[in-house]
Amino acid sequence: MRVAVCCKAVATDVTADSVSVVDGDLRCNVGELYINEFDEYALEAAMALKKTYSAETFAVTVGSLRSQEALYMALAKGIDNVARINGDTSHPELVAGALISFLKEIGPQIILVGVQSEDWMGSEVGPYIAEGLGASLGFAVVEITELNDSQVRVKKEIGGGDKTDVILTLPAVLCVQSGIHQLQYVSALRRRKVRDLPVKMWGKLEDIALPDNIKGIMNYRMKEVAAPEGESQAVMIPGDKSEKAKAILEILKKNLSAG
Amino acid sequence: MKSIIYVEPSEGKVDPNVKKIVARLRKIPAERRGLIKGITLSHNFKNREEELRELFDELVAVEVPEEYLYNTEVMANLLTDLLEADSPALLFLVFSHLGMELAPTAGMRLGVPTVTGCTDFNIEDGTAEVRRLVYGSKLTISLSVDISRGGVFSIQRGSLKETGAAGTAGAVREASLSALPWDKKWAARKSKVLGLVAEEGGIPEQEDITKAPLLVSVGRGVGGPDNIPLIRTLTDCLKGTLSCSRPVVDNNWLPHHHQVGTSGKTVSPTIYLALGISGQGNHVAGMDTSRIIIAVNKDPGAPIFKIAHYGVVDDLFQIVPELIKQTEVGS
Repeated sequence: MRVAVCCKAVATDVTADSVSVVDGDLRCNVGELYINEFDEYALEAAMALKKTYSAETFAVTVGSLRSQEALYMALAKGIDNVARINGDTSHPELVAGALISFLKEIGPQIILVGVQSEDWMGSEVGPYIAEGLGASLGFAVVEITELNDSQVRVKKEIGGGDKTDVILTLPAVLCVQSGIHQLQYVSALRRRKVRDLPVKMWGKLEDIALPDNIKGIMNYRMKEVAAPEGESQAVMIPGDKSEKAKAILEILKKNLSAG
Repeated sequence: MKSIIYVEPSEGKVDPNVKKIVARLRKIPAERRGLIKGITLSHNFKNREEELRELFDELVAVEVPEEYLYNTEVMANLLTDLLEADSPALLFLVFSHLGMELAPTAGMRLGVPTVTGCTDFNIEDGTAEVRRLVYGSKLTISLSVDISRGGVFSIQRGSLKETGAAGTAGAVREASLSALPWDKKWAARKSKVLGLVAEEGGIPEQEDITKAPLLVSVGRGVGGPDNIPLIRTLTDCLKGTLSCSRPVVDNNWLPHHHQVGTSGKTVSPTIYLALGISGQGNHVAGMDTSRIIIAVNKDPGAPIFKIAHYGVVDDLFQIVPELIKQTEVGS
């Protein structure tokens, strides 16, 4: 049983000044990158499958050298193999296209993807990969309950607080919701140690031949990035903590008694 | 070219976001967006035909067997099939769990440009100009989409402000309703839904966040499970009901039935007191119709202040004890 995790390194502390559109793509000049939180949960799910089913685990990312942070976290958690596809893009279609090529080569039965990235916030990569591989798709998976050579059984959110119990044929792409497992603490020493391990560079984004449907879905042009329009509509409550609390209680009293 | 909307149910009603999408489309000249067509599952909207017929120019209600009602593979199969029949067309969905899954799947099968989580859109000659949030809702990006061969767009819940979904005042619209019988080619081949999962133990009535007039809601800013009792004390003092955002549930600090947002419940209380909640789109979509939102957050740039009616920039651990103290003194 092979399990692959697609993970991404993201910048979280950004401002309108640190992100811009350059040559039709987003460029972020924030120095430090962190593993996308949803992907960290996907790594935990992979580790659970490794422990329960002795699965061989892979983690892969698409990005520049500094995106290897995501892979170091994977190694520190205990993932067996890591690979990076070199290239810097925020286009989810290009990322998915590159991942599809890699995944075709290693042939995992389970592909885990965080349900969303904290930077692009689009939730497309998992469904694109499933479609590109002809795999089944489980979106917003909160529990993997059974796994055998041909099927996986999962619980997945369908919105409104509801969940369904679903059986998927393998190979399956599971878009993992946060909270699927508790995030395990990884010590700073462990994270430092794994930085000495080699990270395989699988290929370059620009060398990967994209299928026609990937080219079709990215037929758009990024124009500009800005802070969201419109200033805060909130009436900001000034004062010290006592005055602020008093003002909040007055709003509550006035509006709750008015019914 | 037609504009096609997948009509998703929301607590037994037509999702209000669907109505907002229709209203936005009606503002765009008909020669650019074409007829507005709704696709729905007949099971979801029995006895609501009249409401739907007023919204659309055309309406297709698909008969889906009971066993497939929650099967998203089936939804993807039939939706792409119906879209191909109308190609080139623009497909609009709500950026719900279903929309998050269906939009990229449909877009890739049809090979047409796909943009998810849009907060605004307009259709011009041959292009769609759209806007969406990035970087934890702190920034927006604008995109120009080539729609000459069609396109797929999912729309962030609560982002469109239009009202009056029927469009032009006084216009009487009664869509032609086509009942589409089930076709075996849409059947699931890779998945089988065994059923809905029941919440273990049920929800105590006093913790039902959908009915409470006052919600005291905590986010990641609460820091850890040791601080939840403080928030519970405040909730009791204010005679409110405790709710939370996703990270609080992910970390097992509170059970799932307290969760507000796309993965939890949609709420609309008289007052929503948000403590240490940043205000990411998935949370805001579940509470932005609250009558009054009061946000307490130490980050003045937190997106929650964009939708709050009242804001307090401060540490919740300064404000909450003070609220408790003043409530106890006043009672």
